Amino acid sequence: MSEPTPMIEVDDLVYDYPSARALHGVGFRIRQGAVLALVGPNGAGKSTLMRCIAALDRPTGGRITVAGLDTEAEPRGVHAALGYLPDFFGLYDELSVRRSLIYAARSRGVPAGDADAAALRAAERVALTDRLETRAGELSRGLRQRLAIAQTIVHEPRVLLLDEPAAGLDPEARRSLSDLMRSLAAGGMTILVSSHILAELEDYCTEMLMIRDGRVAGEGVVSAGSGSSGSAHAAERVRVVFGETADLAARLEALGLKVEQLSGHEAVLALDPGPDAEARTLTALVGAGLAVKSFAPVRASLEQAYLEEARRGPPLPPMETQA
Amino acid sequence: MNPELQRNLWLEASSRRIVWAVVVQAVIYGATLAITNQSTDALAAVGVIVFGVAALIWGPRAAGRAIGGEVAMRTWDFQRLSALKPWTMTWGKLAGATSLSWLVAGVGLAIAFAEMFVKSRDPGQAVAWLVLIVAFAVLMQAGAMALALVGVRRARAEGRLATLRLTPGTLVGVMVVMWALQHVAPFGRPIGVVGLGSLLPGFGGDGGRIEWWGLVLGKTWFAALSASVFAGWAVLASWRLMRLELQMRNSPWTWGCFVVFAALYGAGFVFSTGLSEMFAVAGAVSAACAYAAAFAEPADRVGIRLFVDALVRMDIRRIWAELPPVIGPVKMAAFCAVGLAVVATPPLAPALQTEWRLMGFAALAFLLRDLGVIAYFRFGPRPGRGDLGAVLGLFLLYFAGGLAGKSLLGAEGGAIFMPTFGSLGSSLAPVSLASGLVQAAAVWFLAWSRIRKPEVSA
Repeated sequence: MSEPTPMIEVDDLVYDYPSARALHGVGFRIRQGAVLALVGPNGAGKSTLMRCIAALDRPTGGRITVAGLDTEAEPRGVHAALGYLPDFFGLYDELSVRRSLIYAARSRGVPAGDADAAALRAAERVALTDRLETRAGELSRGLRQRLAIAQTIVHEPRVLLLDEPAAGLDPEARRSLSDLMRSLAAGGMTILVSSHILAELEDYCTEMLMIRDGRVAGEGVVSAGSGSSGSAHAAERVRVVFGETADLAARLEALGLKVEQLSGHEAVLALDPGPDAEARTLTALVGAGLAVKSFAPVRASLEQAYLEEARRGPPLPPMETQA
Repeated sequence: MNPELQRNLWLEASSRRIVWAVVVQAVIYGATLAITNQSTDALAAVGVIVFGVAALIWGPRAAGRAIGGEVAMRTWDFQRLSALKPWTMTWGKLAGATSLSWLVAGVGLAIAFAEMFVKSRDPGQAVAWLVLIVAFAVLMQAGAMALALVGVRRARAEGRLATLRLTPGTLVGVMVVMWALQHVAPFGRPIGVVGLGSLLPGFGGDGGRIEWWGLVLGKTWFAALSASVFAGWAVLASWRLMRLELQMRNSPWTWGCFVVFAALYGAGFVFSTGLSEMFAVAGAVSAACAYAAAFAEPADRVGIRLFVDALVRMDIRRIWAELPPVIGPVKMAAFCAVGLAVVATPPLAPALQTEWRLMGFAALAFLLRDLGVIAYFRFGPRPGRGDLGAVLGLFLLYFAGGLAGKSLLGAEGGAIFMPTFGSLGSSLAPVSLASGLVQAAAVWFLAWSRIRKPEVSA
């Protein structure tokens, strides 16, 4: 099977501020349709990296391509291909939600005749249709965040860059954001989300990249199984609870299964790679006459992936893992 | 409609604000008529004042805020990512952000012009005044936007948030300097400031005649045409700077053409005096452009290093793309120095011919030194304070150094710190030339060490 087309490619990226180097030879690839969590402690270089990918800042060295376009050679093409929401964003407080979205659509190249419909569609996606005539300055923080996201996606970009999108949102709004991310990803959008709160990325990210001290930590882009959606990745192991079974360990071993943990009647089994690994394992267990009371796939959490990556390098500063 | 214009009109010229503007104007003009017993002269004078406040203060401030306000509201990155073309963005902002100020200014101008046109013995003069004052307002507004864009670019390179503090201050400063210089004898006609100063609008009267490239023109019409052309350049500058903000590349042609135009414009005022004076004025104007570029361009180490790398590799395409804007005016100044040496016609005595010939090169050497001083300070660890450091450094070198040199070594000592023209019996230009070259080499060595090795913590 051929490698999926990378939507974002970063090679040996270096970025200098006047008094410090923020990125030291960063390199990675993000496949089309991925929802990548860009994680790392504060000051690691996540926002700088995003601004370079958005072709807003010119790197000192290295090369970035977005949707096949070089950010240095074709910055305007890159701008047209993506939507970017910075961590500190502003809105036109005196404009209504409708006018804000119409302006966003028109300024992003949506034809005048389609701008109203595009604005309405974006408002629907972020559940702002009941506030279309409200001034942006009168919106609550959570609603402002939704409007900002709607402005970012109003032209349906191929790549979406979100820097700390859930900062300051209440749990309900975060849930809505997760749903929106999943819906956008299902539509084929490649999404790069930066955050230092892992719990908010857990629901919808399929991959993870850790940045530490301006460098890629660990092995670069790694799988970050999605906990609650269950749709992002196949599980790597299953937790099985058996009924009364004599000599359980030997019988599991005889079936060729890799037992990672065995405690009483409960076992954690490692799965072979492949889309039907869960089904094959369950069939083997039932076929061997084992009384399976519960069979639950265990997907790696983002936090696990993060800690696993962190273990490969020097100690990291603590990060928030709760929303 | 241009989306940027539309958004600015939504914000600036809402129906509520228009109604308020109409009410306030009705009160102002009504009160004027009531107080002055319906004097149309007074009404016209108030119209001029209203125009001045609206078009020359409010308008430039609004044009500057069309950029600086976006940065302050954190909406500038959103705009930079838009699909709008730089020209669409530029004129949309310029026309939209100043729309309400033009509405107010237009009423004042219409009242003043009507009064002047009806009462003037020379209606053409009234039209010239109208063109002048409108072009001057456009020049101020587009200039304010260009300055704001320069400020944004500089702030980003220096890792700080742009502020608008400099924009009105810079504009007022330029006007004061233009006004002051044209009244100071040594700076008047010889460097063409008479012509630049004539851009300041005069109210009424034919304003006398002015000679430029051998043409004798009415001063008001000349000022009106000059203001129109410079307003065009200011709009062009805003557009070119907007291109850079949208991450597009500019070829150096436009800036180069402006430098040549400014040099020729200045030289036109001394056309009848002689070729040497024309080269001297053109060189001085080019040098002024070089200083302006050195301060206006962001302290971007990456750009400079890429330019030098391209230079070493003789990568012409890259050299062209990364060419620092200061290079064009320096080349023009060098051309003028060569021209001055070739056509040298000593004004006082043939014995001073060598002095005269070397003087242009001495001035060029000091220009290179000064640019090195500016670079040294602006690429320092605190680039935000680089401008002040550079100005203080230049002040110390010219005045404190000049005074010290003169008191210790006499005229030759003074010539070490300032390009100086010798008189009969003394030869100072070679001293200035040698000193300028040595200082330029030393200062650029220091400046390059800062550019090449930024303080980067690993």
